[in-house]
Amino acid sequence: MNQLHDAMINDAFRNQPTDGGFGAFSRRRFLQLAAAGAGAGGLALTLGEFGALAATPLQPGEGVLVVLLLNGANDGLNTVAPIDDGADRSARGVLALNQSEAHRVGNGMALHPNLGALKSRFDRGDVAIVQGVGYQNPSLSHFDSMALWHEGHADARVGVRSDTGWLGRYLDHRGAERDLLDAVVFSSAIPLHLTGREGKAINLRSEDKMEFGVRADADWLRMYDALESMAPPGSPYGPLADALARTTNDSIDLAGRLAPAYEGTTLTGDAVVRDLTQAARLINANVGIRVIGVEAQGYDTHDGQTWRHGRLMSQLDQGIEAFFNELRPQYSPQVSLMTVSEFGRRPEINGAEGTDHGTASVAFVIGQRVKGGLYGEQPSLNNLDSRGNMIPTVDFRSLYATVLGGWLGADDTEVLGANYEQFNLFGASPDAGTVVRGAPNPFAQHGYLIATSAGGVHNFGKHANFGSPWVNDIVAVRRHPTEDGYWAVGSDGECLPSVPPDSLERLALST
Amino acid sequence: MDRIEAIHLVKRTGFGIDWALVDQVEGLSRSAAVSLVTDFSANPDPVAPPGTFDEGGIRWRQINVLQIWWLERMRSTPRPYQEKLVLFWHSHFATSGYTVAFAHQIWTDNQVFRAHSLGSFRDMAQTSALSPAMLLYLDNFRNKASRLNENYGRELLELHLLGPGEHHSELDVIETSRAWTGYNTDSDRRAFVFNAGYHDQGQKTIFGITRNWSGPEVIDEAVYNTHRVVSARYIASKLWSFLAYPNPSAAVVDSIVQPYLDNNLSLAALTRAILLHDEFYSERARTGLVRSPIEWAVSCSRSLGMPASESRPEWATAAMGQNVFYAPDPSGWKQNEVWITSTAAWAKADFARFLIWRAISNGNVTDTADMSVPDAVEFVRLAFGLDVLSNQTRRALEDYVHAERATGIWAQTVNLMTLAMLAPEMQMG
Repeated sequence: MNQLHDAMINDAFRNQPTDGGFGAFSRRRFLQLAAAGAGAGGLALTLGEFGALAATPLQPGEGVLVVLLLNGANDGLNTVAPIDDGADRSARGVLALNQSEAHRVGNGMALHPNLGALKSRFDRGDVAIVQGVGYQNPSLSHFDSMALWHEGHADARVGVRSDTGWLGRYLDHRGAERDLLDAVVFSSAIPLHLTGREGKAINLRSEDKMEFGVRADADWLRMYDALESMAPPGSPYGPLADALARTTNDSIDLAGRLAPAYEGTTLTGDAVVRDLTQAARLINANVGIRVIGVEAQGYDTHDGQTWRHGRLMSQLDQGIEAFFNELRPQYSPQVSLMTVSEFGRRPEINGAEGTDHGTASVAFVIGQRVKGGLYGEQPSLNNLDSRGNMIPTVDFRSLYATVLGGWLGADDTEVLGANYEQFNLFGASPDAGTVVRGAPNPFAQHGYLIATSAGGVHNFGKHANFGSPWVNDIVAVRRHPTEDGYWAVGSDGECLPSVPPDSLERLALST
Repeated sequence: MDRIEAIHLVKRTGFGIDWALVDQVEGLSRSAAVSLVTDFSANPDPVAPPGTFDEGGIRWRQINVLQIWWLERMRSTPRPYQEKLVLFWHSHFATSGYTVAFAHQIWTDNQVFRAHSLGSFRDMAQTSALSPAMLLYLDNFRNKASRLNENYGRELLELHLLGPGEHHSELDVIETSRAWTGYNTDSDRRAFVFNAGYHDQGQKTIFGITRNWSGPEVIDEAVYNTHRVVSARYIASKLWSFLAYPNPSAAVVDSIVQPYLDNNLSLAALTRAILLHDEFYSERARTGLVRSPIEWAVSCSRSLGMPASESRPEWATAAMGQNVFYAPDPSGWKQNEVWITSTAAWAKADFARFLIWRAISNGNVTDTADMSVPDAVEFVRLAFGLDVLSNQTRRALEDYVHAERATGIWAQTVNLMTLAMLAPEMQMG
């Protein structure tokens, strides 16, 4: 199994990488070879294949997470409404959903009338609805509350800004070599939740020419080389100039790797539909992406909410459909999509037929491996706080712990700084195979390593339910050629990349 | 003022380096130099482009005309510091063309910032509060006693006056919103009107003081009394971050806040204190800012003598995340790290190629083919206002020209100038 991965590792052990990880070739030389159809080692590689080589392709059983941020605070009460609750109808007034058009999902709850496709997906058992999500002592400031959600740590405090976000820390802790394409986001700035200590997401647009970095005319190749030689650190302009030079240089590499995902038909629909469609194409291109951020705008519905929110719900519905329809079936078991928003909106309608800032809201987790249904408890409308807002029943970090532990196989306690209760909302792991081996992870404080019949080996956080006894011995440990840490190989030939340096002592292993 | 200081001052108070201005400033005292770049008397009076007031026009097209008008003014005005300050205030009192009703409201807002950027912050804040663009953007146009809308009250305190943190309570937000009830627009959303009937005449407790507050009284109370120092430090720190580097020390903020407080919240006194400060000329300041997309695109357009109507920087800067007159959210645009992204890098490369080809077809570009290699690189350095080239950038450019000449490719000037625009030195502020 996994020959590509093995080939990479063998190659890395054999050759000390030279400039920028391109081995013996400069970018220009490599591109020339690729263009001539004669790749390294006698293999003809397309640029796309080269991209896949540069990254770690998605392994069997590895989960991909798409986080759809509903920016501006989505009105949870009109997304999934307690449709028969008199308190809802009286607080909402003209904003209350039409009882006959809303899509009932049980327990007196109903989806917004414009979420018809999502309802079909719910009926197929692919949609988890998590109710009452928020946090204690909520801030009603967009900026403070978004910062807390993005930080996603037990120690997060209102008004105290952090340097890292929860998905960024997940990627830091993933135990694999960081790659530029681990995480991507469709936004003009990189949001905090996708920022880690060792790296952050790169941003993309759903439509891009992808010309600079892809064109391989001789003079363009020389331009790429010139920009590459501006990139080594040490500019008299300091670290910001170094970061700019590095990013310009990275963008050239990335364009080559991403180009295959930009070759599809012209995207149509609203921004969120186009971005989600392109997100699926990126997964289909298998360029190594693990986390994708998508941002939908316009949810701060202080006025004219019936029309505005109705339109947003329709776009959301279309976006989710577009994403799963575009996604190749082979990846469906490995992809989940979740929605988040900085807070909900106040139950009582405001003076402009809109709603002001509230607290608890609803989140969706959607995917083939999701166990559909209602989770959490819908907050009571008869027990509001002093501001007239609902009292959250689910801490948003429980939602994070659920996807970190249950889907991404991460050590959620480590990433979130505390042990949060999880929902058992994934019916199965991302791996299409069954677990054949498992054992406590010798390289981490928590968690298990498992091997599956599909050929994947994963770190499954602290989820004993994924594991069965691990039988392999570690047969070889080699120093990582470029970073601190080691690669370990099991007796069946599996490879665990980037074992942290201190684990050697604990394992009494030698290189 | 030596040449290094002169270059820094001209760079930070403009969009790209105007070498003639550098020559004028060099040798002056710091005080005289700052007075020179702050003397806006030679700048033409702003004249609204045709169609701005046509209320039957297509709004996004009209706003696009305004974008081009303003970007061109940034590029061509003799003392661009004026526009730089307007850009700061456009981000501080952020609004978006997606929500204003008419293009002329954006025009008016722009003139408000220009009129007050060296005036009193209190006057700026009071005028902004009643500007139709702001009334519409933060929903105060329909904030009524019977139906409170907290959007403006919250952002006024958090973003416009005091800054994030624990300077005000949730109660202050609600009561401030009550104080601002009735400050609406007419039914066409065209102009500010005060609807006494919609104003909450009751007692409100704001900053611990209970009385029948009006909206404007909240601003005066915050900036003149209860939060005088908090607000002053917030504004001073933000302007310092825009002109020098982010997150100044408390000592730096103290030293620039004093003249501001002593001169009745004078923004002229505050910005002058920044430009006179030793720390403004420090290594940290000279390496402390990344050019925003607007600054970068206007600098490139200026270097190649390309008017905004032809270079259309607004499309490129939008792709890089800075669409002028369309702030991303009420907190405006951030700085530095947010501009260092792959999307921005691709958009810069696209714009640089587009710009250079347009400039060539206009006959604006001097061919470097007959110059020696070092001369060609030096020519490009000066043309693009690059005060310092790192050794590695200079070597990369020279090696490039050498390699290209060996193959006889004719596009060497085009490509050399593309590389200059994408060099890290050009992307730094």
